This record gives sequence, structure tokens and C-alpha cells, in this order.
Amino acid sequence: MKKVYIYRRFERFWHWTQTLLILTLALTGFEIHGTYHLMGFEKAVLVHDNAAFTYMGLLILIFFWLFITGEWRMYMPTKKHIFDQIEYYIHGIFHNAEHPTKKTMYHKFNPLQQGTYFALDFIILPVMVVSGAFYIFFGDSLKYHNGYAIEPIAYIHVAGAFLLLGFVIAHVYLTTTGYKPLSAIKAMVTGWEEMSDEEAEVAVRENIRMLMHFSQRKIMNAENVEDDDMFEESLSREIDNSKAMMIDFQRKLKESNVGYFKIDKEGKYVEVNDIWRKLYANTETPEPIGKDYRLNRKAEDRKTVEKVFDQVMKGKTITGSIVARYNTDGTKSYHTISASPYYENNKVAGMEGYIIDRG
Amino acid sequence: MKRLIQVILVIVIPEIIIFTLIGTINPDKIIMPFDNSKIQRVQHDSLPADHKTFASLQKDFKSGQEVTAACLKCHTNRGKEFMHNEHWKWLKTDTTVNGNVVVLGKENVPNNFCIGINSNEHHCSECHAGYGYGNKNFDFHDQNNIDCLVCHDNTKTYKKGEDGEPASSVNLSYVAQHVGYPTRENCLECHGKGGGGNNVKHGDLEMAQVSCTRDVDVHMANKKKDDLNMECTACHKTHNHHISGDLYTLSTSNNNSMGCTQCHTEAPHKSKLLNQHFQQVACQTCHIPTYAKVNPTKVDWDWSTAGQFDHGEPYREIDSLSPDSFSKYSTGHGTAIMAKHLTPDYVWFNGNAKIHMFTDKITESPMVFNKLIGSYEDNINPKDINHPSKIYPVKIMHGKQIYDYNYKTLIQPHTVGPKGSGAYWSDFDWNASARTGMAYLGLPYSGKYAFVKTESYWLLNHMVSPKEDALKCESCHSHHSRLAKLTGFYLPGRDKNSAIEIGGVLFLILVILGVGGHTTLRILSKKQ
Repeated sequence: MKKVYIYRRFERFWHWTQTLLILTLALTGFEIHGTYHLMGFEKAVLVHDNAAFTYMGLLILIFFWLFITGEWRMYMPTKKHIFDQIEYYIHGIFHNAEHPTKKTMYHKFNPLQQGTYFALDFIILPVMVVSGAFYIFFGDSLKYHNGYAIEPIAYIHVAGAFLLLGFVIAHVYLTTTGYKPLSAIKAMVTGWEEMSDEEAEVAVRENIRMLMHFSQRKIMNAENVEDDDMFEESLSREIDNSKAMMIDFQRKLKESNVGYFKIDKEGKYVEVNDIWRKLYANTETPEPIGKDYRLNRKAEDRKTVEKVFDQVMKGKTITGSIVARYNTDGTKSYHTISASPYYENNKVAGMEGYIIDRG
Repeated sequence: MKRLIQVILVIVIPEIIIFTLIGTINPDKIIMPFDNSKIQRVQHDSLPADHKTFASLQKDFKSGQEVTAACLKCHTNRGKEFMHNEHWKWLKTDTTVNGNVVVLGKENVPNNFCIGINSNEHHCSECHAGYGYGNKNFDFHDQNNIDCLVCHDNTKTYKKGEDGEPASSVNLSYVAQHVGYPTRENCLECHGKGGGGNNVKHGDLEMAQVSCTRDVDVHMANKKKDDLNMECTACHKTHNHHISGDLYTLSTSNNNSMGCTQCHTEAPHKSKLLNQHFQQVACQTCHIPTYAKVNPTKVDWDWSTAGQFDHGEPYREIDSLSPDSFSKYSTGHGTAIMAKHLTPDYVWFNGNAKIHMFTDKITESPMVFNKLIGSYEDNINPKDINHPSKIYPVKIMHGKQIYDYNYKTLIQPHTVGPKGSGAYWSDFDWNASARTGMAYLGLPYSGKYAFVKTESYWLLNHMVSPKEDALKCESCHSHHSRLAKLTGFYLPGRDKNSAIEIGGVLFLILVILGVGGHTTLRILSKKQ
């Protein structure tokens, strides 16, 4: 599992403000409508009006953001993959199929969402705002209104409210269809969305591709033509540079004193590297594969490692714990351990990590 | 930790701030102090002189006329003035919506209480501001017949008897020496007891208002030190014996109208939205939430059941209908229903009415005595821009009374009189009563009578409640709207479009079923 940054701060702020506003408007709106009695008609009208004006302000900010960032394009409906997406919801989802479209920061919606959000943001919400504004206008100017205008306006407003309420229910339900049931909601709070490694890879590559795309489009020569030569040259140099950095990193890792280990969920060593073997050479467990991780500990130190193991198996990542190992001559050596879980089929399958000797 | 702080900064704190503001800010509230300057009490030019010492009043008056003659000796023009007053004429001239001039009065306009005065003046004139009105031959041009004392007595001892003469118990000299501006006792003695008993007729005017708390009538309250203690004439301003105020059982236009805005502004609330309601809703609608707050008022009078005997004798019977209402039977009157703590009915009204007279044909049932003219249409496009229709509270009086089956007109029965005179309350014979009454009135009677359902509308203007008790939004803006009968316009909170309601609910059910079904399938497929 990986986490990918999808939602920026303003988007999260706007989403949750909008959520609370819509719920407030629905709660007070249906009270004004006469569906139930909660805070009283007078208070309900007051809160409804305040929330409505606040929402108008927020909508101006939202549309400004969409326009400036160009993300309004995400909302334009498309037929591409739409049938794949429908097929996924009525069939694939029951057979552990992969999502047919991947979520990235630059392309957050699947084609069904695109259609729905387009209808929502560019049809239903404007209709609600306009009908609500007319409602207030005609309601406030009893003297001048033609008397019957408020009736169709109210009916349109109520019909829109039913549609929005239905949307909210379906929307909340569909948040559970992410990587894990709460992944989508967590992402909307923190910005970081949990994804499978494959999806995350698509997202990262999409981010890189988008940045490359921007870079390519934002360079032109003196004749006002996009300067692809310069872009390609820069890109290949940048790639070479990255490759050199990667090679350098791997070399440094090999030369370092970092020992690597991997333990399965039964607590048996699955894999260790040479450095690890070197560090443990003086202990009773120089060759660990298939053996229990507690073997070369004394009773009082077992607790420490067991705690690390238990926590990692619960999905946590541990950094910098100090554990002891016992050498054959009876002396004690210490190393720091950093460990995190590894996954198979979306379940914790064991832990892997690094140890650095403390002498 | 850093991520948590970021979430708090980006989401939690802004939402708390935004929604605290949404919940507390009230842009509807008028912060500037509003203009109260119009609220001022009527000041009399001078206190009435102390009449005790006046030489011309130091005598033993034998009759009411003698007192009046003494009054007119000093108040030289007041008699002529008062002879234009409806309290004297029992007639008034008014114009209909069509511009026709009509003369309306007790002699040509029936009602659904005691029906009419004709041939019954002997008894009815106990409330006439004159002496000797026993029949239609009364001399309306003799100013000595004016009864000054009924309105100007300040001793609370003055009473009137048959033909409007002073009751024999009254010490006329004592009363004459203690006259002054009319008090509420003077007015309520007749206006509170109209229809034959306390609060019978209006429902919002009764003897309890002589001394009451704010809960009963916020203007007339006088039980506590800070109570307003307003007399009738504080609002019903009177100059030269011309009294302001229309009663729409005997008025077709609003040419003598008066109302709340004599003292209050047209934007008296601290809420803009409430002030806007002034365009469509009369003050009384919200501020008179109930009427007949102390004593019961008559809401139904069925004359058709009259004439039943118990062992050959006329009888009376009272049956309780609910804690606040009872029915009353008597052989002479038929069945009446009295009730208190009543919720008003509501009508659109623009200050004009159509009055049914004895000569008018009955075309519908229930027959309406005074059609209050008004509609929603007339509110948004008023014929008279100064008097658009507004919603007003009314008491609707239901009746069932005698009419001429062949001529389709209401009948004036002769009710008060000795045995053998044809008076219904003595002889219990509708035919004789109708023949006598109609002959007296000079109108034909075919000889065949029947009973027709009738309604009269009584605008409620008194018994204004304290502001805490005024109607709340939900009183009208809800399913149980008080305005349920006023259809033809959209009222938020009350009106719904059933297609949208059903469609909307079905849509939500489909969404929920879809979500539920999908969840179930996902859980089942996981298990496999």
C-alpha cells in the first residue's frame, strides 16, 4: 500500500465547508418546507439564509479556483471509459477487479463522477442558487412581486433539494469503494489517499507526465514556437542525472553498515542481507533464515522486540528503537531498528526493516 | 502530528468560525432604534368642568328629557351635532364599491342574532342614545330626546330601561351632576352586551375589559401600575360627536376607518422580514391570536329549533359541549352555541363590504350578511392602492333563521311583545310573528316560511395580546396553518406540490435501496 497526495489544502477546505453548508441548508430547508419541527421556522429561515449567502461566497471562490487552475476541465463529461466504469460498479467491484480509472491530483474523477459533478456544479447548484436568490428577492419584496412567481420557484428549489440529498447519500456510499472503506474519506481530510502499489505507481507516473507536459508547453523559442529540442535535451540530461543519483545511492547503501531483514507474520526470518549477517556473526544465530526472531535474546529484551513486532504487525512503522543482541562470549551489542509492515493481498504479511549497529 | 495540526488549521478551525457566524449573525435584525415618535396618547383639551355646583343641575329631574334640556342650555350646538351621529340615527350613509350611495341601519339591515329591530324597538332601544324610541314613530328631530347620560355618566349608576327611558332606579340629578368624558363602562354597556348578553355579539368586546390584565387586552389593561389603561376614545377619536371607526356589519366602505397606525408606525418590528408582512397581513392577524378570552361569545344561533315545549311549557336547557363551550336551548330562541378561547378565522379584506338588506334576495346558502371584499389578487394588484387586501382575523357567526320561502327574502319576525300580539317570544307562532313583523316593516310576506343558514363576519380588532403571545411563524407557515382556508397563493411551509413530494421521496428511496443492495452484494461477494 502507498499513500499519494491528491487533495490540496483549499480543495479540502472547500469540500468540507461545502459539506457542512449543504447539510445545514438541507436541515433548515426541509424544516422551512414543513417536513419536521426542529429549531422553529424563524430560526430555520435565518440560518438557511445565512448559510445560503455563505455558500454563494464559497462558490465564487471555488469557481475562481477552478478557472485559475484550469481544473474545470476535470468536470467536462466524457464518454471515454464510461462503460468500463459502469461495468466496474455493476460487476467488477464484486470480483475484486481493479478500478478501471486511476485517481491522480490532475485527474481526480472517473467518467461517472465527471458526469455527475458536471451536472451538480454546473446545473443543479446554479439552479439552486438562482432559484434561492429569486425566492429571497420575491419573498423580501412582497409589495412588488407578481404574486405567483414564488410558487414555481419554490417547487424548483424543493426538487433540487431532493436531488442534492440523493446525491449526498450516494456520494457518501461511494466513498467506501476506495482502496479501503475509509481511504477516500481519510484522503479528503489529510489530502493523502491510500492506494495499491499499482495505482500509486500510475498516479506518480501521471504526476511526472503532467509536469513534463507542462514543462514542454511552457518553453518556446524566439519565433514563438514550442522549443521541443530544448525540452528533450533538458529532459534527457535530467534523466541521466537521476540515473546517476540512483546508482550513487545504491552504491552508498552497499558500502554502508545498514543491515536489512524481512520477517514473516509467524516471526520467522525470510531474508537478510550480508551486513545483517556480519552484525549477527558473533551470535548464536549467524544463519537466521527460517528461525524465530526471538532466538538470540534474553528474557528481558524479548519484550522490546516483541513489542516492535506486534506494533508493526498492526500496521505501524517503528523508527529508531534500540534492541540488544547477545554474542557467544556473553557480551551484549546494541543496534537501532527501523521496521515497517509489508503487504500481500492487502494484508500485513510480515515486517521488514533496517538495523544500524551502535557498537 | 504536523498533519493533524494542518487538518485542524485547514478544516476544523475555519468550519467552527464559519458555522458559529452562520448560527448567530442576524442580518434581519434592525439595529438602529426604530421610530416610536408616533406613539402618543390622546390628550384632552381640558378636564371636564365639575358639574356638581352648576345651578341649572340643582333640581329634581323627573325625566331624561329634562336633563337633556338642561345640558343643551349651555352646550348649545351639541344637540344638533349629535343628531348626525349613528348612535342617534341608527342609520348611516355609505358608498358601495360600485360607487352607489346606500343608507344602512338597524331598520333595513337584518342580522343573525335577534334578526332586526322592527316592531321590537320597545326592547332594542335600551341601547339607543335617546329617550322614547318605542316604535317607528319616534321623533328623531326633537333634540330633547337625546340621551346624553348614557355616554357621559361618570357615576356608573345610570341604567336604561324599556323604550330607552332611564331605569326607575336612577337618580337623574346625581348622574347629571357627575358627567364627564365617556369611559369604557359607558361604551361597553351597549357594545359589550350587543346581541342580548355580555360578549354575545363581537367576541372581542365585553365587560371583562372594564378591568383586565395585559393578557386579555394590552391596550385596555388597568390591573397593574404600568398598564396602558386606554379608554375606548383613545383610539376611537371623536370630534364634535363624530366618532371614528367602522363596523363592517353596517359599513360598505372604509371612509371612517381607524386603526393601529394611528399610534404605531408601519414598521414597528425589529425584524425587517416581519415588517415586510405589513404589506399582506393586518396587525390584528398576529396580535389577536385568540378571542373571547374571558367570557364566551355566541358562535351559532339556530332559530329553527325554537318552539319546542316541555309538558306544554316553554323551557330552557344548557348542555356542556367542551370545557370551553356549551349549547343553550330555549323555546323562544332555539339553539345557540357559546364558546370562549376561540381561534379566529381569516379572510382577505380591503375595507369594503357588501351588506345584505331585508329587500335583497337570498341566492345562496349559507347566506352571508356582510361579504368582506378582498382577495390575494387584490393584494398584489389592488384596485385601491391605499387599501390593498390584507389578511384579517374574523369571528364568523353562524345562524339559521326564518325567511320567506316564496319571495326568497329574509323575514323580520316580531319577537318582543305581549301575548296575542304575534310576538314570537310570547306566542311561539312563526307565521303570526312573520306576518306582524313584515307588515310593520312594510314588506310583503307570502305566508310560507322556512329556515336558511346564514353567516356574518365580525372583524376582530380588540383584545390585542401582549407581544409575547403574538402568533409565531409556524402558526401560518406550517401544515397546521391557520391560513389553511386561504388558498390560491403559495405560502412557504404550508404549500407543497404533491408530484414533487412523491417524486422526491421515491427518488430518495431508490437511492437508499440502490446503496443497500450494492452494499449487500459487495459483502456477499467478499465472503465467497
